Amino acid sequence: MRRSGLQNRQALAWLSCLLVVLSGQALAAAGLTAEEIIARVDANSDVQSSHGYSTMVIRTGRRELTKEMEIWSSGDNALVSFHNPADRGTKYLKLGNELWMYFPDADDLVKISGHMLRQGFMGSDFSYEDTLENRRLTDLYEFSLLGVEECDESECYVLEATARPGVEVTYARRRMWIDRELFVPRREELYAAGGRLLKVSRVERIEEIDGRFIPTQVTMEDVLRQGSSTTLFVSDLELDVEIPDDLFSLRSLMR
Amino acid sequence: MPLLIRLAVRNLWRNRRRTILTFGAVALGIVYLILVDSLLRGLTQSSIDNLLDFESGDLQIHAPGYFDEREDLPLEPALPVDRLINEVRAVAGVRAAAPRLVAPARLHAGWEEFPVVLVGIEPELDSGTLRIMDYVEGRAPENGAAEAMIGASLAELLEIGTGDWVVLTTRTRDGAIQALDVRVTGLVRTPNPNVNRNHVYLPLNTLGESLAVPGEATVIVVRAGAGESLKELARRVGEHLAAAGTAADVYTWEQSNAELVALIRTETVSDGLVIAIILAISLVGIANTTLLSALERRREIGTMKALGMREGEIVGLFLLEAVATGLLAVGTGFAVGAAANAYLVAVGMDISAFFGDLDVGYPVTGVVYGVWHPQTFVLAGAAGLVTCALAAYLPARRAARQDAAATLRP
Repeated sequence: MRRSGLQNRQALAWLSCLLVVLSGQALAAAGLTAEEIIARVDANSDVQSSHGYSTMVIRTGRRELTKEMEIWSSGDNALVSFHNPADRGTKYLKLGNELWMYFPDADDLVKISGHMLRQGFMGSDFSYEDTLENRRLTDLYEFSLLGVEECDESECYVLEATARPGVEVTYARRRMWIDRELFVPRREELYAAGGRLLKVSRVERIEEIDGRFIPTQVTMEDVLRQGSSTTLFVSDLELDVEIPDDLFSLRSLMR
Repeated sequence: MPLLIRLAVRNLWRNRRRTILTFGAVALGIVYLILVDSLLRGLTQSSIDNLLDFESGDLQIHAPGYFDEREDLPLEPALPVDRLINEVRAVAGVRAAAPRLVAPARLHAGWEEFPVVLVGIEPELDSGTLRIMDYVEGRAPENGAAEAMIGASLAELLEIGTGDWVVLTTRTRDGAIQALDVRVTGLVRTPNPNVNRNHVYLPLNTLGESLAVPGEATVIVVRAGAGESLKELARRVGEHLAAAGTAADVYTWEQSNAELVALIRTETVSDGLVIAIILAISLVGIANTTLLSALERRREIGTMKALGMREGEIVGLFLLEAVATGLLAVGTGFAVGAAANAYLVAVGMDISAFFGDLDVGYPVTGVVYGVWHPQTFVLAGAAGLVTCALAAYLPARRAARQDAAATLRP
């Protein structure tokens, strides 16, 4: 890896940061505060339960893998069942802060914990712990409004989130571009404690479902995995649906 | 010379081909036994040396509570380096001590990620304690610099050389992802494959500050002076630290590496099995030859009985022949085995030709040296003689019991 390339990238990042800060100071007084913006984002995404289908396209170099899944979620719990031939029957169950995986071929149930949580979810650019995060961002981070920027043909608030002291978080710093009208994050950058950019997510399609604006196409890029990205397509999403209570149980996982 | 001995020597000489085949088989068994035992003992010794010299040292000091969680390589609980290192070095019987901060990480290369073990070291203290620094191609990382040495096998796998930059991701004490851009200043090519495959060495202070644990170490590695009892030294170090007001637990390398110790014990049992199989093969070979010899010599035995030789004397004659064959085999086996073992001790055997980079459970790679183990010679010699005598006894007794008249009838 070349140092000069890294230095250039870091210099560009700092320069853009400076521009954003300067424009933000001028705008902050006229609009919402960072906390108010995040509260609007939370209000838009606050869903009691949901059911839908998703296709995950994982690109690694020239290789492309497609995985299809059905997803149920309710509160802090979620169940994912894979339907594509290679993974048919594989299921993930998120029970609060715990993640379980069921392999149909081995008829085996595995709890994903420790170092395994840091690996990519089914080989994607989303890590298992990315999928596990339950807590509200405002409990984990202190937000500051850096300004307003053009992003994906929309006006976006640019927010910087830094971990609250004493709170354990995976990413020490995040930068989010929040659509000024829809209050949906259109882009997010996740940083390491030392300031290195780790991941970038981009929302490529937003749909209005039951009065809420929901991202239905998101691409996550793990910057450290050269030539790798994962796009998640969501379809037939139903919000606030009735889901049987016993669906989120280890017994139903093995059914 | 008594008649039986003369007869025995004459019989052996008369059937030279059979004698050579029989003593050759036993001699080969003895040579094989000496060499296999020497290599297996050498492998065990090299494993222990490689573990002690490149990973664990003789004793390890951890903060209370760390040992039970050590498989996960947590950053907490940790030890304060400055306060502790001089206390440890002050204990009588401690030859050297060095702090290490160990953390799990992933090394990123292209779209691949490899799990590695990050080891924060103080190069000067570490070189007096372990032997990593003797096997560095390039140079050690400098204190405070974003530099690293990486295992040579890992470097070759990822096509990384000195001067290249690599990215390592790990976690800070608070659990946040930390990414480190470090320049490779040296490759570590030791006889310990675990180190070559998995380890990445950074300056202790660089790693400590990056992981939000400055001035701390997860382990202090201790080398004992020559002849020190490790259990006794561990007790003394523990008491000294407790008296100095520092809570710490001290473990010997055998306590910290229970899996390897168990593996060595298992191997010792299986070595015994190998030796037993070698002896069994020799036994069957000699029994077969003696049986054939007894069948061939039915008329001769009948004549001897007709001339007044007692059964006991006939059995004795066969036993004498077997023991003489055994002595010849032991002498030849010792001579050839000692010469071959001298080569193994001096030059060794490159096991990578057999195993390559395959992990066989032992922290050993490259050349394994044989060891001298006089007890094996005594055991092999005694086993050779006893095997010969035992294998000859039953066929001899059967031959001696035959009716003389029946054997002489045409």
